[in-house]
Amino acid sequence: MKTKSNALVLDPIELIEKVKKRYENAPIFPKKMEEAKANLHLYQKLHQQYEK
Amino acid sequence: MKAESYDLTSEDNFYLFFSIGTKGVFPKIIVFETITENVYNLAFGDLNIINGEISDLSTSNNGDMTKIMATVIKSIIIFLEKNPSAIVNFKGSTTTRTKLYQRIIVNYGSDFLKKYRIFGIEEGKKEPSIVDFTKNYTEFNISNA
Repeated sequence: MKTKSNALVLDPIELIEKVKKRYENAPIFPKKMEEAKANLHLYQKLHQQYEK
Repeated sequence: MKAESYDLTSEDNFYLFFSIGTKGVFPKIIVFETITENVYNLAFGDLNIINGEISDLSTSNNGDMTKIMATVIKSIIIFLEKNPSAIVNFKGSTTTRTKLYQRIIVNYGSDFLKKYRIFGIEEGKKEPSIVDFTKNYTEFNISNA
């Protein structure tokens, strides 16, 4: 983060790196991730049906 | 008709943009988190610039909700262009936001929709099906057709 003329200048890449570091070992929203994993096989089955 | 959206900065599976509205400027981030090979869960929220934490329940009331949600949809389109075999799960953090996603997708029009295979879980149901946009859904699953 840099300041320029007293204004906060946000570098998008710097912010992304901060998020990567914060969540490198854990899902961002664990509950949503668990729900997505639980429904995964149902979606995979549907995709297989539509690929035939 | 495409809704107005913000410009995105991306790195790997991370997409960032700034919401600019009546209350100020707020950084927002979209992350395509890997569930399994080629399958991703979309995480989206406000970014805390101090510690890098993401919140999906904050309400900045910045007067640009439609533009924000349209930007999220745009990030999915870009992600699927970059990763043609990818499948993306996504839902809003509230029912209203999920419905707004649906409305934005529908507004892209039928030619756009033909490019994608979109499944979802209809409200009140437990199993996913191909999406019928006359009904409401609690989540979506999108891939290239």
